[in-house]
Order: sequence, then structure tokens, then C-alpha cells
Amino acid sequence: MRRTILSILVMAGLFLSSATALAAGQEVEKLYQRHCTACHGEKGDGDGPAAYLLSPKPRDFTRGVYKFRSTPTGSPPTDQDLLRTLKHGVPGTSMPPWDRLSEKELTDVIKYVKSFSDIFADQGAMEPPIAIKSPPRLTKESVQAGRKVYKEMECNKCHGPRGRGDGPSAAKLTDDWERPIRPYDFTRGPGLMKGGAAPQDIYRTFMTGLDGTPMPSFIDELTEKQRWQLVHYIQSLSPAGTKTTAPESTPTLRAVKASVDPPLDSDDPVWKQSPATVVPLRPLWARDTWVDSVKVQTVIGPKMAAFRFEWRDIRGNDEVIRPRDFRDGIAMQYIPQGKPSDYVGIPFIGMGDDKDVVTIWHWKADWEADMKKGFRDVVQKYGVTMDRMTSPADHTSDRIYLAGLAAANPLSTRQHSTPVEVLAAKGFGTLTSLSATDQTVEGRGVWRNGVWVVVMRQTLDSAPALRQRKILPVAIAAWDGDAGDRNGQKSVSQWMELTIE
Amino acid sequence: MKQVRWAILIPICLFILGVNAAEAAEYAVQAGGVKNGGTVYGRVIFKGTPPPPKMMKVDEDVATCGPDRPSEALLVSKSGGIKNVVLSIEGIQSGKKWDFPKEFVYDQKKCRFVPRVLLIKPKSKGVVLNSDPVGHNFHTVSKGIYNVNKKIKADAKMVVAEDKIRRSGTVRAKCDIHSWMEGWWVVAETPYTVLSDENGNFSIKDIPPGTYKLKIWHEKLGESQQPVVIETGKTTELSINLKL
Ligand code: HEC
Ligand code: HEC
Ligand SMILES: [Cu+2]
Repeated sequence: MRRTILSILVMAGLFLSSATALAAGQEVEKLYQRHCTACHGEKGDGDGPAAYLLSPKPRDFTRGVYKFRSTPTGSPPTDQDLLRTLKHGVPGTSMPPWDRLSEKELTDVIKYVKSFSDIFADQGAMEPPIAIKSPPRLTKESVQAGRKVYKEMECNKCHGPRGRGDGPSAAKLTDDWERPIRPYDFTRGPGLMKGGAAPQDIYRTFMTGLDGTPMPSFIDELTEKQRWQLVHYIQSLSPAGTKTTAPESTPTLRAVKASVDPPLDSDDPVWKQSPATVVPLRPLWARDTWVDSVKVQTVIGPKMAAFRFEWRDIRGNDEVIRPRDFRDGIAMQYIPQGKPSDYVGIPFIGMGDDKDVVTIWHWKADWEADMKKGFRDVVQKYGVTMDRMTSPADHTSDRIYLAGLAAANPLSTRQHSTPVEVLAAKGFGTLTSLSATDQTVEGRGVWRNGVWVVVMRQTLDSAPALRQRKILPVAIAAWDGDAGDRNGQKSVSQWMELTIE
Repeated sequence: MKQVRWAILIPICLFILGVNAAEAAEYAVQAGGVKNGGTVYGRVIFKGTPPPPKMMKVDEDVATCGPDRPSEALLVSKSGGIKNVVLSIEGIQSGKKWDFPKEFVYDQKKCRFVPRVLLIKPKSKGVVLNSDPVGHNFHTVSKGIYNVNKKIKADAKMVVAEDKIRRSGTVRAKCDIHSWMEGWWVVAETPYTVLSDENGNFSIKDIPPGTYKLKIWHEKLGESQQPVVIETGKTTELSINLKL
């Protein structure tokens, strides 16, 4: 009798635990699909629908090879390591910080990521993290000594004699997926170090190596003293004042109501009343320079809503006449019917969304220049078309933006009535330019002393969501012509909340 | 309380059973060895004229590594035999003892891997040497079999512990400092796995009679297979043609 009860209990227990496990599993799968699949792929093989737009490529989780670990080379990362990567993102790449996910969601999604490779279940492969003591003080002497260690250890062969990432072996390096990869240029400063820039982080990076890349582990090569000397030398190569990106978090935008309609003039006093939010952007295709942040302001008047964008750009590019001239641009996208909590924190890649219609306002420097200077016949003069421009991203140019271009061919419609193209997308690859009569967003851009300031605005009648809703999901994308940006090669923010008071 | 404990215990038992079942399918050594087994004797031949080997540019540590050298990715003898082809008979559940060396040694000499192709068994331990006066970074690439990247300084070595090479398959070895360095580890599934010599010859002995698949792998010529019939006490002769 007791035994029957027991076995019934066991059966029930098993049933319940597997049923709840199943439901929880589906939740986690959804979480991964919503946030990670676009880049890392449904199967975790790094081949998501957006991967073709990205460099470096998203990690292929099926190999079980990870860069950022506290464990020796060959060993999988700890949960703590993965958590650190998720919380900070990977600086200088499209991998954003996932600060908007709760601790529980992060733990769950880590479990899911680990399930793509059996190495995490392999006791033999798993090794404990290396111990890192607290760093000694940096002195002139320790930096000098570190310089010698750097040379003895042959760091210079990849990172170069001055740490510029230009050593003799640098040009031919490839990662484990046969893709070209560059050694870190330490003079870019500490802010872009993927593994972290604190002394302990640098120590960890060269002790464990970055698996899957040419960066090896030096764990058996150095005495404890030499290790810290090397850390100090690396720190000395990153000059003070170079870019430091603080741990990023997703900001919130705030729109203020004004009693008069905001003008296109970016110097108008109305902009002084409106709080500016600094929005960090990440390059989809990593390179030396990109638009890394944009200051955004929003003002809503009785009849008009306007956005003001300000960002640094050493040279204004407003011509697309010769193939090497790419254009600058900025885009603001919002989801008129979207629930912010469905979006906030997810990077905007430019592919629309399955659930809701995304509206995009895309201001283009060259369109504005055409309006100002009159249309110059590029075709006659140079016989060049947009799609002949070559760059790493070109062979698979952004289908979305190509769709946009096809709908409003820049060569056939050079006489623009506005420098802003309005587009809409629902679902991947569905971006289309709205018809000419719906091209009602006005814009004006001014480039002065290395800064672009652009204002875009529309009547509230044409953008009813900006009148009716109190909170909306918005995202920003920027193109830097000098860096070769065009189409899908751009910098993007994550989806943010725009709150309208 | 009790049912909770059971609910945990039962899945654990199932898990252990499952693991055992999976392990049973792995290769087992026959007690007393294979008596009167068959032998495959064969030769791997390159079909057509092999392309001249690519010259590898030696542009780093030239004093130690130089001068430029021909690629060793495809080595064909004068009479057409291909070296470093891996041949294995698939589908033998149990048979002879592993006759592989207990511990492997992989060397880096004059900025090349010696041997270029190394045959080892799963879970082997061994050592990677650096016999050069310059450093190498020993970097392996594989699909989850063994992936490390470790700097080995001049005249030093790296120990590979027993449980690090996780399963059978191919592992590519490279050194990123010297871009031309390339080598392969082939982790065998059964002891019925051999490497062809410089004349393309190979032999596999003590095979229990039966019809099997012979798997053929070469780093440049890829993977193929063909059926092979083994009869008690007899030698089966094979001639295998490969092309680019
Ligand atoms: C916009 C594209 C994008 C999205 C979305 C994205 N990732 Fe990534 N992720 C990347 C890229 C690119 C890298 C590789 C960076 C590198 O190699 O330097 C990466 C790397 C990683 C790594 C590797 C860290 C290591 O040690 O090698 C992990 C783990 C990871 N992502 C987890 C996630 C998870 C979990 C999600 C969803 C919550 C996610 N990523 C969403 C682009 C993305
Ligand atoms: C064989 C080439 C090679 C050698 C030798 C090498 N590195 Fe690297 N290193 C790289 C590559 C490639 C990267 C970039 C990896 C990436 O971006 O994913 C890198 C990245 C780094 C980083 C990480 C920067 C970041 O983004 O967090 C540090 C720190 C570093 N190396 C230090 C060193 C030190 C110190 C030495 C010598 C003791 C050294 N490296 C030797 C190739 C090398
Ligand atoms: Cu080498």
C-alpha cells in the first residue's frame, strides 16, 4: 500500500516536474528567439538572418569555443563569464549589453546558449578559473620592465612594436572560422577592449587567451611579476584621454510639449527647453571609426512633432558623386502600435519586426545637398550608380535598404522635395519607401565644425501615434560616409522608450 | 519529502542507464584478441598529374624558419603514391587491442609540425614540443574536439592531459605567428585506422571477417568511402584512386 502511494507520488512528481520544465523551456526558447536569433541563429550556429550584415560575426555556439573566459584555454567559460559578457556586451561590435533582461532571464538564456554544445557537460574539459590577485601599483619602472616582457613574449609580432596592431604577422591572421581578424590596437584606448580594460581584465585576457582567435594563452610563459609588468605596459600604451566607453545601458528618451510648433532651425531656443539624451550606437560592421553616439531631443508642439539629432563627424559627406564618396545620414524609427516592453533593449538591426509595423524617417545628407545646390547630373558626369560601390558589406548589401532604394531610386528621383525618406516595414526584408504623397517628413541638416545637427519633423495629423501615445519604442541608426557606411553598413542603437509627457 | 527525493533519483538513474547504453555502442576490445582475422593491403594513388606544390612564403623568423618552402599539404611520390592519407574501417564493434603509442609526441621543428599528420586515439595524453629557438603559438581548430591556443616559448613544451581530446574526428593545428605552419591530428574511432606511407601504401590487420566501409580521409582531397569485404585469414588487396 505504502509502495503504491509512493509510486503514484513519484509518477505525479515526475509528470509535474517535466511539465513545468517543458513550459519553462519554451519560455526560455522564446526569450532566445526574441533577443538572440537574429544574429546567433535559431540553431545557435551564428548564422542568423542578420549575420550577413555583421562583422565580426556573431558567435557560433555549436563549437563550444568562447573568447571571454576566466578558465584556461580549451576550457568552456563559467556561467559567471557568460553573465559578464551579456551584461557588458562586446565593445566595438554589434553584440549589445543585455542590461534590460532580469538576472533570472539572463541565467535562463545562458542555460539555453550552453545547450548548443556538449562541452559544458564534459567534466574533463571543464577547468576551474585562474586565480587573479589584486594588482600592484603601476610605476615608471614596472612599465619599462613590461616593455621588455612584451618583446620577449613576441606580443609585437601581432600587436606591433608600438602596440598599434600592425605587427609582421598581423595581416594574415584568421579566426577559427577562417575570417580575417585584427590584433587589438592598444592606442585606441581601453574603452574598446572586448575583454575589459581593468588591470585584472588585461591580465585575464593574456593568461587565458581568446579562444577561437589567434590571441594565445601565455599562462606558462611568465612569472607573476612579469604578468603585472606586462599589464602596466599595455595600460601605458592606451593614452589617457582616448575613448572610454562606460558600461552602456539603454537610455530613455523624453519628449517635451511646447506651446509653439518646433521649427526646423536647430538653433531655435525651443531646443534649449528640451532634455537631450545621449544614445550609444554600435557598429554593425566593425571598423576604426563610426558614429558611436547621438544626442537626441524631442519636442511636440500643438500641430508638429520634431526630433533633433546631434553627432560628431570630422567631415560632412553630402555627395555621392564619386564611388568613394558615401553619404552621411541619420534615421529614427518608431513603432506606432508597439508595446515598449516588447522591444526595449533589443538592438535595431533594420529589418522591421514581425509583429508590428515600423516607421522610419531617414534623413540623407546627399538629398539635402541636391535640394540646396540643384540636381547635378551624376549619371552623365561619371556614369556611376549607387550599387557599383564596393565594400565588405556590398556583396550582400542590406536587402532592406536596397528595397528602399529600389522603390525610390536615388538617381531617378534626384529632385527631392524633402531630404527625408519615410519608409515602413513589417517583417524581415519588407522595407519599402512610402508613396510620394506620404513623404511628408521635413528635415534640415547643418554640418559645422565637425558636428552634424539634423532636425526632422512631421505634422501630428500625419503621425497620430506621437499625439495619442504616452510611450513608444524608438531606435536610431546613423551612417558615416567617411567610414564607408551605406545601406546595411551603419551604426545602430537598441530599441528605447520614448516617453511623451 | 520522500517523493521529492525519488523524483530526483529516478531521472538520475535513467540518465546513468542512458549513458551506459550509449557507451555500449563504442568500440570494445575482444578478450584474447582476434584469431585468424583478415588483412587489407592497399595503395592510395593520385589520379592524373599532381599540381606542383604551392610555395609557402616564409617571412617571419627567417633565420630559423627560412627559406620559402613547398607546401606539404599534398605529397605524391614519383610513382603516384599519396602520403598521409588516413584509412579506417568503419562498423567494427569489437576487435583487436589498440596498438597506438601510449603517449603521443608532436613537435615543432624549423617552423613546421612533425609529423604533419598525427594519428591518435581518443582521450590520449601527450606532449607538444617546441624544438625551435623562436616561440610558436600552438592553435587547434576543430568542431568541439580539441580547441586550444597556447604560446609555447623556445625549447619549451605543452602537456595535453588525458581527458582533453574529447572525441574522434579531425583537428587542425596552426601557428598564427608563422602563417604557413599547418598540421593535423586525426583522432581515430577504432584501432583499425592507419596512415599511408610516402609511397601511398598501407595495411590494416586482424580484422574480424565481414563487410565494412573503408573510410578515406586526406586534408586536401577530402573524405570518401568504399565497401570492403574481409574473409577469414585472407588478405584483401585494394587500389584506391584519389583526385583533386
Ligand atoms: C546584433 C547582433 C547580436 C545580437 C542580437 C546578440 N548577439 Fe551575441 N554576439 C554578437 C556578435 C557579433 C558577437 C561576437 C563578438 C566578437 O567576437 O568579438 C557575439 C558574441 C556573443 C557571445 C560570445 C562571448 C564569447 O566569450 O565568445 C555570447 C555568449 C553571446 N553573444 C550571447 C548572446 C545572447 C545570449 C544574445 C541574446 C540575449 C545575443 N548574444 C544577442 C552579436 C549579437
Ligand atoms: C598570434 C598573434 C597574437 C599574439 C602573439 C598576441 N596577440 Fe593579443 N590579440 C591578437 C588578436 C587577433 C586579438 C583580437 C581578438 C579579437 O578581437 O577577438 C588580440 C587581442 C588582445 C587583447 C584584448 C583586447 C580586447 O579587446 O580585450 C589583449 C589585452 C592582448 N591581445 C594582449 C596581448 C599580449 C600582452 C600579448 C603578448 C604577451 C599578445 N596579445 C600576443 C593576436 C595576438
Ligand atoms: Cu610558429
